[in-house]
Amino acid sequence: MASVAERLQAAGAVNALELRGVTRMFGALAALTDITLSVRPGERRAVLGSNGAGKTTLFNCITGDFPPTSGTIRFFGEDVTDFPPQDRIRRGLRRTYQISQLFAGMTVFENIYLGCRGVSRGRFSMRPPRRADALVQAAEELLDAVHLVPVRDLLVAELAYGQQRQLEIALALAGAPRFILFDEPAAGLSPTERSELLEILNALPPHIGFIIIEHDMDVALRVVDSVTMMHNGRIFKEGRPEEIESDPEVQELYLGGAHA
Amino acid sequence: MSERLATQPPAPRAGAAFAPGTAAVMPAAGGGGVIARHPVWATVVAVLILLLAWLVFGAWPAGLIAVLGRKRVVLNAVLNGLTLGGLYFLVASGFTLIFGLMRNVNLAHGTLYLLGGYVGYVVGVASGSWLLAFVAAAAASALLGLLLQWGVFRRMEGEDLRQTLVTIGISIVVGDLMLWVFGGDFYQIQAPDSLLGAVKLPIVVATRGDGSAVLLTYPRVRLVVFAASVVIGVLMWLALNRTRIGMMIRAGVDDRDMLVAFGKPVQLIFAAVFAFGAGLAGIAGVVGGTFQSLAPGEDTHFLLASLVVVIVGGMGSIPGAALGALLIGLSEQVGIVYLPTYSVVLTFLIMVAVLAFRPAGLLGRHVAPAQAGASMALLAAAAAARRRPRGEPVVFGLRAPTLVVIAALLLMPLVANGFFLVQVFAWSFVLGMIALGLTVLAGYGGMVSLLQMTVAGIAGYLVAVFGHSGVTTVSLGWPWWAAVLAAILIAVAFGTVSGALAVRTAGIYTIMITLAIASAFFYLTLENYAIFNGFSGFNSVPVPHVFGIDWRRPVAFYYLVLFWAGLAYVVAVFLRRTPFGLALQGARDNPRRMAALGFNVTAHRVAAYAIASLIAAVGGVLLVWLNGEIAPGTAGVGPVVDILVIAVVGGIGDPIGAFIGALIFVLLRTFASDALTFVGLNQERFQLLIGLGFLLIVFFSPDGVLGLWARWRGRPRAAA
Repeated sequence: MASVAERLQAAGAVNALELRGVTRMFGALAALTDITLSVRPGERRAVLGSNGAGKTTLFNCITGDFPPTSGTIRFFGEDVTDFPPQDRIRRGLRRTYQISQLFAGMTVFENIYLGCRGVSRGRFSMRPPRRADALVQAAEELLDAVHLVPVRDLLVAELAYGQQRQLEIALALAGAPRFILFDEPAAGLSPTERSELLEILNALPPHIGFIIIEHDMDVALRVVDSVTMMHNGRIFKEGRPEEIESDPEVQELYLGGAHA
Repeated sequence: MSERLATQPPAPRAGAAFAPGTAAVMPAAGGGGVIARHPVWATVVAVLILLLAWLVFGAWPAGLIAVLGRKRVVLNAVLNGLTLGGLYFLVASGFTLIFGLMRNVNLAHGTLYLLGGYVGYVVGVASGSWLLAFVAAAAASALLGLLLQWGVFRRMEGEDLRQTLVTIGISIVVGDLMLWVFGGDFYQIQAPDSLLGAVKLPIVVATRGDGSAVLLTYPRVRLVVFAASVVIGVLMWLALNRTRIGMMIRAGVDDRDMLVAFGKPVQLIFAAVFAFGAGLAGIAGVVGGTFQSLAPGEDTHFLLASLVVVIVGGMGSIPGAALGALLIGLSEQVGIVYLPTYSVVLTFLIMVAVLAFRPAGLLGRHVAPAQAGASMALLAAAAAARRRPRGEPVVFGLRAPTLVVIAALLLMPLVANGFFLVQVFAWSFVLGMIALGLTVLAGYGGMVSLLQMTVAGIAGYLVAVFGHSGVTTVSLGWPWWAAVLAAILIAVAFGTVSGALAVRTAGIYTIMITLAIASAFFYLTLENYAIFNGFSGFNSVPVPHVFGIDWRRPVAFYYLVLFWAGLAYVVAVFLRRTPFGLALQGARDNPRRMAALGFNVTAHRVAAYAIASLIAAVGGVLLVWLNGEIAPGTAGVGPVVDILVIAVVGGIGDPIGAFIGALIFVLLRTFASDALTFVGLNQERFQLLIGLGFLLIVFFSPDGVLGLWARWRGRPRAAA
């Protein structure tokens, strides 16, 4: 996997994601302080850190849910710092939420269809979707890819928790994603569901890079090329998974923090 | 900590607007330090103060008089504006206090004002004491406020839309009860002799021929009341920011559960604050009754003034209410001098500017525009509850009951007489269409707008202005199709632009902002004669002859209205299945996720306003033809609220609800007088009936008559 990312970079591709000096304040509280981070196209990275380290705020700044207080964010070379979320999504950024953000009153299919529609033309279309539409076909394929065909016409509110998490991931795969932010996708899943999740992540085309927030080291370290450790809103350490895992400082901080 | 912050948008903490740091209108302590730190600004401010002092106390040169007008007139307008601002502050501060602390939008606040005024009048006349009038008014309004807090807000905690709807119902009912008791007369409360008369102010407005100065005189009572409102405002601010009770109140706003956990009597505190805010409105009623007069309609007038004041000043902020009240009071009074008949436009423009550049108000805290409206949970539930199973054909695969209804409507002219066709059915279809736009906005989009009747009114007015009417001095006499086209285009443009302003904030704010815009239009039509022909409006607006058919004839008009209402209904049903409609529903349920899927939520919402406005505008053209006339009352605050009542009573979860609600409303209006006489009530008590019916529906069936019907058939559709 690393070789794909390295090949892409060698070919002169710019970084998928480039953060410079990103700071986010909530009132007087600095949730993020001076984050500088680059991720290559196709790279898969884990962000680790205890509760309150600023991981989800980092995601919110990257997607534009909350704009950063200062600093710049580049997505494939383009400065997107002041873009609203939807303009970043249309450029190929995707995300999942730690707490599922779905449309509970709509069917599973309608959720996925909206996901596909959002990153294509015709968002204001007045033509009801038909079975033969390319977009409907794409939604059906995505439904199949995340194993949700049997619940296609159920309301989201009627789904089991694990299925909702799968749908959350499906929404991030709609259209042609170039880079995805996964916010604790495995939280609350059963061991079987976890291995299904790992399967989905490992089956992603190699050009799609991602950042994953994950507390479970076993899950995180099996799918990523590199790790960023965060602590108190700052980047604390970066490196390859095996380096981070064996780092005594990290072990003390992370395990200490996790068991406190 | 950051996890919590990160997963939810920062909730607007209006309580914090009371914090000293944001209280920009309070004089900064330690002026010397400020001057040292900001020498340039200090100089600018000093120059401005000197200029102002010269404008007030100096003699004006002829050039200045030529620009501004005579000094006495200008200063009088400014003083009137300031003192009116004081009165507005008294009313609005109670509203903003309750809203800021408890997030309760109390649209019965104007009712508390008028009730206080009437009680004050009665007690004042009986006892001969002005002060006793204040005490009685404060007590009466505080009592009604307590009842509201206990019976409505506490019982429906967290359902802010439903709370607001109930307060609308209560304001209709209590308003009609007050009309019953006090009639339509004007009442004026007498100020005590010691406050009567005028004061000579040390301000020279002119010099006489002999060189002696003419001093400005001004009514003493207005100055005293203004001083009193300043004192009350400062005391309120101090109580909130400098006392333990104030600290507890502010803490209760931020984290109610924690305060309960500390063993503090939260409900008691909230009830006390509610009573205080309501009591202030009652006191303001006596002040208003002394300054001006008390009459039906003053309740809406002061509710709207409060809305505009808190929208401009910042919702939930006491200093904001003070600033907003002064701005609005001044703009109204100064506007009367420089822009007679358009002064309400000035107020409106101030509001528009604030909404455009600082949606949370001048001193308010930022509200995330795409925030998920928790208040809309009710609507979402209602809409979700009425979803059809997927795959069932909607438009063309008509089921038997639908076919029966269509056939009955088509054959109606065979059995019904002209009275029924026009007075009952045409009216129901037209009002239903206008309400249908609200169903699209609220049911699909989660935006409870009160603009529908205003948009219809604009279209109706413009048909008369551009086309023909009995008022030949104003009407331009264009051919009917040109007048109709222009009217619809302008009405839709107005509705869309207003919608674009309203979507800058979300949830319960929408209802406040759209009500304020709607009322601005009402007062404009009332005051303005050049375009809207003022109080009398337009009569004899003809229905055109087209294709050799006289569309004024009942049967022809019935089919005309049926066609357009049916078309609007089909469009509304069809819309729900389109990608646009799905996206709109997505934006209602989870705007943040919609943005994260690539949708521009704001654009979708504005487009929904455009569609709803188009439906309303067509309805408005039909309305003016149906009525043959249009006047300010057509799109007054009553009819504006009636549309909401119709949509909610019918059921906002399905487009057909709008027409069911309209039919019920029209039947009640047409036949209520007989029914009321039958049970021994005056037939004018129609509003009472409507208000009570609305309250019952909102209390017992949030999804309207449709919901009742579904439950009666034993098919509970709601998830609950």
